[in-house]
Amino acid sequence: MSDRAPLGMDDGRTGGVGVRTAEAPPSPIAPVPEVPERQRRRVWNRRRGHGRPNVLAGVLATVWLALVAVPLYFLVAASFRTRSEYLSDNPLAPPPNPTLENYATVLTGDFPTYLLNTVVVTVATVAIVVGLTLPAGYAVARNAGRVVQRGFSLMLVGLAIPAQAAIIPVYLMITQLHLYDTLLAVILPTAAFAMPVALLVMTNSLRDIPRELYEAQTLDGAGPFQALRHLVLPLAKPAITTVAVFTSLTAWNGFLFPLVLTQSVETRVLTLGLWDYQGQFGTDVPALLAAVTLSVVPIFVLYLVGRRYLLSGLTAGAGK
Amino acid sequence: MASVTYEHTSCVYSGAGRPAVDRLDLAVEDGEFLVLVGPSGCGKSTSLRMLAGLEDVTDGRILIGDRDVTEVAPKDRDIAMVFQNYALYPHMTVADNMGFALRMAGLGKPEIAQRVQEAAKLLDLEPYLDRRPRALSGGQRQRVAMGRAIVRQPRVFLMDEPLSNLDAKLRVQTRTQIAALQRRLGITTVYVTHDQTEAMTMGDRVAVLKDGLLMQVGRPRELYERPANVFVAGFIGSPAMNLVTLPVTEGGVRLGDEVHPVPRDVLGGASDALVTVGVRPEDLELAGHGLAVEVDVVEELGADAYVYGRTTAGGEEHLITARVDGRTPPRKGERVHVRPRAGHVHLFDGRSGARLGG
Repeated sequence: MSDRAPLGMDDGRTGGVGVRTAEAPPSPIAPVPEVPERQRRRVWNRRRGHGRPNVLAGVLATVWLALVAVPLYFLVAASFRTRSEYLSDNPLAPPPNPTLENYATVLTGDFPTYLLNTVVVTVATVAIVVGLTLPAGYAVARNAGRVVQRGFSLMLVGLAIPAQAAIIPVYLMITQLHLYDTLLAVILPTAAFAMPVALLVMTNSLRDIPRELYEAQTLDGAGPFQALRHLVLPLAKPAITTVAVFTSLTAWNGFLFPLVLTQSVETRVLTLGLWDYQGQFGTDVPALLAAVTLSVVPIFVLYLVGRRYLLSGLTAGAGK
Repeated sequence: MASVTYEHTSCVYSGAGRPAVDRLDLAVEDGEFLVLVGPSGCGKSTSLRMLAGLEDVTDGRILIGDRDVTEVAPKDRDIAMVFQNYALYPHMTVADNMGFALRMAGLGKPEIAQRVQEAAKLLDLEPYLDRRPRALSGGQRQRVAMGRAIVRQPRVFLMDEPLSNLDAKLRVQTRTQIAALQRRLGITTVYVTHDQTEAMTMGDRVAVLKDGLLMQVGRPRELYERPANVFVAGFIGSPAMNLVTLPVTEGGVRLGDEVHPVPRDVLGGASDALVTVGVRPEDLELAGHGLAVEVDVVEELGADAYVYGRTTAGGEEHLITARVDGRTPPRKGERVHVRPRAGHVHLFDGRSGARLGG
């Protein structure tokens, strides 16, 4: 049946087989009954999810979108209002006299320090996590030896340990290392706790690289490290992006480690800073919301940029 | 250029009961095109991968030229391999794919470019050098895989079923191209396939393997005319040879109303001997008497027709295939008689399967 469908309709994902079971006798040898073109097309479209709209899914998606979008809209809109407007106006109406004064208030305070600290923490955490999980994932994917595989299993146990449960030992270790109230005190535990998931993602992705590509590298004279550089690194880009985005989100939004392991304004990150504003701007909600907006923008942009790579094909063209 | 020699080479995978390759003794001459053929799991790919250095040799050794390469790293063996799935690096252009080994070997950019250019010219790949593999057709990818082997100017080519991912028509074309290219370059080639047609048409010599054991090695015609055992007889040739195991009586085997004589000396004197009689479909002719065959299916191919039917011999029913004249084939359900052409009957020991007599 798929052979008879007009050219260009078969994108390779919709198997003709599915259509056949729906309409025609199961045996591929049996003659296919003549189905009028329009009817056949409709069957096809329904299989692909086009054609008749799925009303329920549409309604639910709209509700979900509203639940997410309204608070975001409120956040951004309110950050452009003055304090008096915020208290008197309809909170969902667009601000009548948009003002940047809240942003000015925030940016002239300690906010730039917090932002810089957060950026440092995030970049360093991502660098550590990617730098370690890429070679580790390569080892796990390529070395079936007992030590490596046991080590991998041990790492995965980390998935089950919440940071809260380990916070007291972590605090002790950090103070013993004399790292208390430094950015490194935030970076190291954050990276450590992001590692298990990152390693899992990385390993699974590297396992998808066909064995023959590694063998071709061996025959072409590339040793394990050259293969890491010339084959694994380029092909792992989607996995690296995934790990980087995911780890960035964790590091950027991390609250527990900065709260427990830092104290002074110099080492304060955004999450703690916003918390701080609650007291500082107790009655100035629009300024607080401006700070929140500013803290969301960078990570949101990062996500938008990285998203493009998250799902892109890994090894298209390697084989037949 | 170099010869390749397997000396009692074995490979045992850990955990497997029997060796994947069992004491293989095989010599490939300088410049020869040798095809390893056999059903899946016969050890042909393992043999090739041992030569490539991708699989450890458990026992015995492998020589390229006079040099023992058993413990030599793959890259220092002076070989190049074409993989079944081509194994092209998806993130590199065609030119980078072909030049990668040279780059790893530390050659200068101009020389790499020149060698890639030459190989591309040889394979009609010049317009595609800047493309990525995903933008190429299956046949083009296959040629890039060939090109990647050629640029290295190795002493031995290894090819692991390089045509199995092509469609039937392209496979036939590429088959000829590869054979012609190998003759032109004169590089010793070991080629693995499961397709006996490929083996017969491409190889200077063909080695047939089964269950890790070398069954027979020889020129295609030798394998066809004098198969060393029942397995080779049944594997080489399409459609397959008719093989019927029968007891020896009255100094021969009874084929219908005739007795095909079996010389006493080839039997080794045993009176209750079993022999397997092998006759190729093209060596069976329709006759007035002989083996009675009930025709099940007739395949008309134009010039020829293949008759598939059943016969009873030695108290058992056997399936028989015969090639007949395409202009006057028998019809389905008809009962005909066939007899082997004189001098075209193969006899094998009914128990060991080894060839009997000349």
